[in-house]
Amino acid sequence: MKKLLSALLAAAVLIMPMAACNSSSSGESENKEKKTEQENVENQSDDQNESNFNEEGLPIVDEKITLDVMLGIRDVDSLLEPNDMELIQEQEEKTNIHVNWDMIKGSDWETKVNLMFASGDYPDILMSNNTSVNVEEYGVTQELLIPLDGLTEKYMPNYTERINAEESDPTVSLKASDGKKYSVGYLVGQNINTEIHLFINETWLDNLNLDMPETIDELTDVLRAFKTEDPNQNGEQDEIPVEMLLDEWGYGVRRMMPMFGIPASPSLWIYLDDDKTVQFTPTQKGFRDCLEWVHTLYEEELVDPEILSQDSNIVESKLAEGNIGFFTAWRLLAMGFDDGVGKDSVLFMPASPEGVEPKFPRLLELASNGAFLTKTNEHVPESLRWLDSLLETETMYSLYHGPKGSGWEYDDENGKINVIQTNVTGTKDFLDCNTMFFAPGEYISEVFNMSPQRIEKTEYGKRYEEAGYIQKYSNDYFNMAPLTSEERNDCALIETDINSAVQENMATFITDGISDDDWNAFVKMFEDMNVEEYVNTYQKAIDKMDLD
Amino acid sequence: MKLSDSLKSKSLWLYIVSFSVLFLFVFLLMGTYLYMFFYRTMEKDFEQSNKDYLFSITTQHENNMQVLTDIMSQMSLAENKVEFYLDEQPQKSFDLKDSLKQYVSVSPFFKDIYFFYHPNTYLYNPSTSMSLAMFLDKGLVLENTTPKQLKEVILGEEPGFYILPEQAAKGLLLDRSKELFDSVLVFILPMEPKRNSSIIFIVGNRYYDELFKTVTEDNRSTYLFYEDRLILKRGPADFVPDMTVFSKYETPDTIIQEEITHENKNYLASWHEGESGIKYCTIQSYDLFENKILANQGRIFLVLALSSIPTSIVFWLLAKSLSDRVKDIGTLLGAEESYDLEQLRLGVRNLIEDREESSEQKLLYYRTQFIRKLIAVDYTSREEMLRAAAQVDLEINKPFFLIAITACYESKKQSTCNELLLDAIRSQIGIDGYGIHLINNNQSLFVLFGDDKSLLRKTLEYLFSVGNNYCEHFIMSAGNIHDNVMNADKAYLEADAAFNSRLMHDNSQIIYFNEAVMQEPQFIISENYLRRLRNSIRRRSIKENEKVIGEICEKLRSSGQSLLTFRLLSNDIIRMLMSEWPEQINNYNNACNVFALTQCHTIDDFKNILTEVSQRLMQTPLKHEDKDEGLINEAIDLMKEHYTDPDFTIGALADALEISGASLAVTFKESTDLSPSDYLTMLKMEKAKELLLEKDYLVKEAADFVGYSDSRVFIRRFKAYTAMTPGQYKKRYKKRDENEED
Repeated sequence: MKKLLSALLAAAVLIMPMAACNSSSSGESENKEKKTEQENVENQSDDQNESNFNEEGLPIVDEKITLDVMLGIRDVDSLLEPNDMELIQEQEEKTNIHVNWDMIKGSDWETKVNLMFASGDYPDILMSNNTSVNVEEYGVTQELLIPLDGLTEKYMPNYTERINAEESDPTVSLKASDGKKYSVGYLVGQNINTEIHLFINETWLDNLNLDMPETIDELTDVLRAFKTEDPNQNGEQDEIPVEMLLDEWGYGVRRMMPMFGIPASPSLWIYLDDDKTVQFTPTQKGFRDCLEWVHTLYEEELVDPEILSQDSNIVESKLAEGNIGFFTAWRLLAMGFDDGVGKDSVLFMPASPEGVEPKFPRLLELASNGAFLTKTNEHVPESLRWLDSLLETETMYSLYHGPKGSGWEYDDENGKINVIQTNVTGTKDFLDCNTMFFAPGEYISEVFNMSPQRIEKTEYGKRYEEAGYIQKYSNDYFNMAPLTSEERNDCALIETDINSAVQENMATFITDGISDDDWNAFVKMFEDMNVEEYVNTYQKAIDKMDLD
Repeated sequence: MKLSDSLKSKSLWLYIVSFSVLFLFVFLLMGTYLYMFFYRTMEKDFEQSNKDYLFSITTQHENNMQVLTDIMSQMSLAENKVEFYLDEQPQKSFDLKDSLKQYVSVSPFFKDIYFFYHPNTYLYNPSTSMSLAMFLDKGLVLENTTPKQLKEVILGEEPGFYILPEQAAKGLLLDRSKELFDSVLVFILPMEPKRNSSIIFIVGNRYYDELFKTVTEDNRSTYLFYEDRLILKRGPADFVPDMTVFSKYETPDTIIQEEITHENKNYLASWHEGESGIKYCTIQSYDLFENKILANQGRIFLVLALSSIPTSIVFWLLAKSLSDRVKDIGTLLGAEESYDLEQLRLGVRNLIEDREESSEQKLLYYRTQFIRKLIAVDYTSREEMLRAAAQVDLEINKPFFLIAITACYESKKQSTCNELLLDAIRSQIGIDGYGIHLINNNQSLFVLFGDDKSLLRKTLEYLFSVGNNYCEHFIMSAGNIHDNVMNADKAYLEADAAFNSRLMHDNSQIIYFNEAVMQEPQFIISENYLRRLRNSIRRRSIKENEKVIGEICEKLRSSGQSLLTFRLLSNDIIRMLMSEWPEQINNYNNACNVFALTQCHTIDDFKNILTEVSQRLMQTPLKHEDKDEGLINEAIDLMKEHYTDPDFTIGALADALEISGASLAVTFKESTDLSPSDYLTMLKMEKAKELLLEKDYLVKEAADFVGYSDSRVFIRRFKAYTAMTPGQYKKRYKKRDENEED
């Protein structure tokens, strides 16, 4: 009996790679390269589990096995012990795999992971959807993580299917410097293409009978009108024409730069132009123009006087109040702006100086590192099949939002999933956003009724895209650029210097304006900082990536 | 009565119980003292621990308050840096924010800091600026403080802290902070010296939770007061102690402690005022202290109980062993099973008396031993003898002594007779002595010590009269008076010899050795007497018979023969009678028992018996001689013929008679009650006596004559026969002979 079974399994093992090969997608080409590796891994598990493992269907194993999972959660999360959650228990019954969970808060995660790797006692799986693992260090250098290329195609049908459904591979971001993917991706798709949009107070425009400005100058005039002509009709000159701050994530000067043709990255002072060339932001004309414009606003008191001192918290609370003419934001809905700017504002199609095409930084919806397998995992196929089981649509949504009926339900009309539970207090009996979630754009729009705020943003994105205002090659590629760790370190150092220099000067430019001398001095400053080398390093890396 | 009786009988237990009670009382007294001491110590500990606690938290908190003041001082030094208008000098906002950031990151005490320059519109925290209006409206929303109140406080210009009591807080500024506060304490400090600006510190409840963390068992509550208001409270107590206690005391530097009561529960309150003006108070329920006492008490009692168990067991065992012994003693004493000590006392006294008695008896025993030893000349010196005598309570350091032998022939009266004699000795002054009973001989031996001879003799006479009065047949013999105690054996032999010759003398007197024995002339039984006796019987002549018997007795009486010769005589008579009248003599049914002759004690007895026997015989017809008789006669004849021959032995005699030595001995003994050798010796000795006295032979000559080749053997034999050596015999009786006429 045993002999027969093992013969069957052996046959199945031989056939499997061929089957996997057939289901082709753009990400499949690496498969053959990985075959030997895959075989090694499989042989490892084969020896032990051949009769136990089921390649398809449930349960995954005939005799219960146990996997150790280290799960990272956010600091704010208050969750039950996973094995006490009904959903997890159901999962165990279905798959016949018992999991020992080690739940770790985000603030402790890095320390614990380092300790764990140092100790030599590794769990089977690291579920790090909201936390991070140093892939370069532990995967590439120390080889403590298993590269999953080829394996995910074999053992994770759900995952693979969704990848294949996208135009561009959302898991390309998972590649480490050695070109291998060490994780199962985490992606909560929103179908968006840029982070921040521009908004203008339409009510005020209407009240003042103004047309939507189309150039920067027109915009500036409108702003002046907002200030002086009492568009909120309360008899007081209390309107804030522009609400922004200096340089914090969503509301800083960088977010104005797209109007000046600069798709400024929120984290780096370089960007990728449509010719795949790496550009240094602070020395661009657009940069200067933008800051001069902001200076004008500042001088004419068209901008919140706290521009240089306030933080995003304050800005958001002001936006929630309303009484603002022009601002940048992620979106309007579900931001707490409903009683504030939400009721008066509309998307602003960017105005720009003469001859300049607005360019917004493109947001690639890419998977981030989700789950890793450590090299001591003796049940690789089982683990992958188990992870894939968590990605089953209903399971995935239940673990993310709550069980069917309380967390989500099928929409009566279109049969897609609606998320019911949006605000949970107390200890959750589901893993929340810490669970495995892989829903790239195409998939998610098929399966899920995006919430209005998502739809809103998708709309905006489409409009900007159609107008050609979205950067062709995303700045996100910088994160994926194949730099050596040495290069990365060097660049990080330079980036710090660049950042402090830019910050200092930006404030002065806003308050004092920029004379030519000032500007020249400013530009020169960067020459001394080895910026050219910095840019070149990235350029080389981008070129290597061979973007299309 | 029964109760008191039973109490009496249990008197031992009464003693034990009363002792235990006393012991217990002392124990309790000590225990109480120790307990009081222990209580006081625990109380002091309790107070001290509270003081320590208060001191520690006060120090920590005051340190932090000092930090706030220090920050304020630092910022005031950079006054121009921090006091500015945003629209005029926006750049300064960066520096201000930076320094605020630094302060927050360094301090573990406050979580947020705001700086507000009063004339300015905006206040600043480490990350942002905010208009005062917005701050009051949305920035910091306090549960118990209205924005208006908050504004007043912020704009306050009084020096020193203003502290808003702990209250729930929310608001823009707090929401974004990583730490989640339930409540905060707000410290506002105007910046010296102008007090144009204020620094606001936000301290979260977590800090105080940590600082005042106690365990539930401690039952401790802590309060902070500032300017007569309670600003913070931690702990389970549901009331606030009265702060006015502070005003009673003058020195705020020290910790004040007092006891307060709330709802019938007692607490120890400790107060301390810090330099910042904050008053710290901690209260702890006395429950804890009491519980501790109780717990420890419990422990102490447990220890006591545990230790009392073995103690009481030991106690009980001791008491029991004591009472058991008392009981044993009681039982031994024969008292009933009781614990009556009185009875015991009596019993013991009885015992002692008995012991005295028995020791008396022992004394008597030892005295007996002494006398024996004395007689056996066991003491090597007079001193030793005296020492031994002293040990047995005999006062014998006297120059003279004698030994007397007595006999009382009524056996039942013997011991009483002895008692009487001993009493008599004791009653004599100047005399001491003791008597022992010689069982085999049925005699008693007395040794008397005296100061002078006449006293001794007198005593002897007295004793004799006592004995004679009491016994019907009382005989006393006495040895000579000696002065050398080493000659006690001699004295004894003298008394003994005298006693042995009692039949020959008048028993109604004391038989003195020198009188009785030394007076011994020869008296060999003359054939004459025997013949005459025989003939008298044959002829049936009563008159003749009486006459012969009278003569024999007279001779016996007057010549002081030894017992041996008497026996010989008796034997001769018996032999003669038996040879003549064998059937009669041997017929035991015949009341005429000739052998009774040998049992005679006195001459009178002898006379009577002989008379009777003769008369009986006279009544019977004559018979033939026994065959044996012829043999014996022949043996005797031969002996009489040849006794002087040194070679004439009994063996030779047997040969001559043509019988074996054994049969000779047996037959002879049967007939005469004497062994042949004894008879032969007798013949020799009697002859020797005659030679020594009448013929004035020398000892050697006499020995030679009677057939002893070795004169030493002769002297020995002679001494045994007569109790003195031939020389002495000669000397003595020669003198006598000279003094008396035969």
